[in-house]
Amino acid sequence: MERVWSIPENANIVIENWGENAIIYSSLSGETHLLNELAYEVLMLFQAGSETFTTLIDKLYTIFEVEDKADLELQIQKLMTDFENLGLIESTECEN
Amino acid sequence: MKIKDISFNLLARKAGGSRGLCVSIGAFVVRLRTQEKAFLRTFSLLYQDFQISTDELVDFHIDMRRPSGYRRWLKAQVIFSIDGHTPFEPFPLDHAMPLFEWGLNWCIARRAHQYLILHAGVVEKQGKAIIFPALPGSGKSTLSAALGLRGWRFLSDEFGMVRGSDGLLQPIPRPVPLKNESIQVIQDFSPSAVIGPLFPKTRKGTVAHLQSPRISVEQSRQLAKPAMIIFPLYQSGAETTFKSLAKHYAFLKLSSNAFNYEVMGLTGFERVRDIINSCACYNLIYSDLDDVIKQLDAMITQEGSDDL
Repeated sequence: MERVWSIPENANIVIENWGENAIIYSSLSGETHLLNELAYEVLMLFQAGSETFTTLIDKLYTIFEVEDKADLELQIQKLMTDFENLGLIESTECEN
Repeated sequence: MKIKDISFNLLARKAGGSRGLCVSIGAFVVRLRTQEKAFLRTFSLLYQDFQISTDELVDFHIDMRRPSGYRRWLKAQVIFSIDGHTPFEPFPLDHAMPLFEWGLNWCIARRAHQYLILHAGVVEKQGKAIIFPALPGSGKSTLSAALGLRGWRFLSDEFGMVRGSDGLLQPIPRPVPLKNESIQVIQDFSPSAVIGPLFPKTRKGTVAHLQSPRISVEQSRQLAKPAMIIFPLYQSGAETTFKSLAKHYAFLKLSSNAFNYEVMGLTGFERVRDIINSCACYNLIYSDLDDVIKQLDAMITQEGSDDL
């Protein structure tokens, strides 16, 4: 079993990107959030479709060309927890 | 017909009658009922250029009356009520005018959710509006008033009313409540300015209301397009300094400045986003009104001219 994250089906997330920072509005919570470049890219990947942690990290390696992969993984784990707590993404268990 | 076009006696009869005195204030119709003649005299001075409304659709039904009991006569008080509710404690009777103004602010901020309501002064020149969002005490009222006295169209010192449907600014050019030192500042700045009586010892210190420019009141129905957002801060002795703001930062400042951003939901987000995208955004520190107005005159002339 693998955990898969995606944006909730009934969520409408409106995004305004101004380069290094983006502002998003979530219709589910009615809240507005400020995203940095990394958080914005992660959210855009979820906007494009569901991701496991592994597929997400692979894509981010490519986007950001990072050398310290362990540090990126830690940041993404925290970010996904934050996103989940804010109701921006949700997870389900899926068979491989 | 304007308030100044009828005699005070007739005005008092209307306000004292059951149908009250209906006045168009910006996009709203306010029905005022009161028998307090001293208050009504000040009201009729400050609102002299506003239209008496014959519209049957009234937005705010406001009563200004004395309480029952001994406070009716001894250290007399006045109560503000809206649709029969009394949201505030009574004020001393001689502070009826500030109570009316604060009460009407409360009504608008609580109920007019067809607008995104910014806590901001708004002025306009050459078809381009500047929004001055700011916290109390930052000098937005004084700056907006001074611009109005120098020929800019004065839309408000208190509310940037962004229409939810299209993002245009609805004027509500009510009298400006000048506070403490600002009263003398405006008197010195424009000796011909019409300022009502002083109200000492209010919760905001001494307050006096500046009459809005007649032409601005007459253009109350003419909406304005936002062109600049400037977050002002008065600092004694400071040189006039404009500092450009990043869009995301300006968004956060503007959305947190609105009275009803959360209430407006997605529409609130979209209106703030559209304003930020269409406006130049600055922080402003100032102390010299003449100097800041000179610079704003130059900026508003330049604004958008590159697009021509």
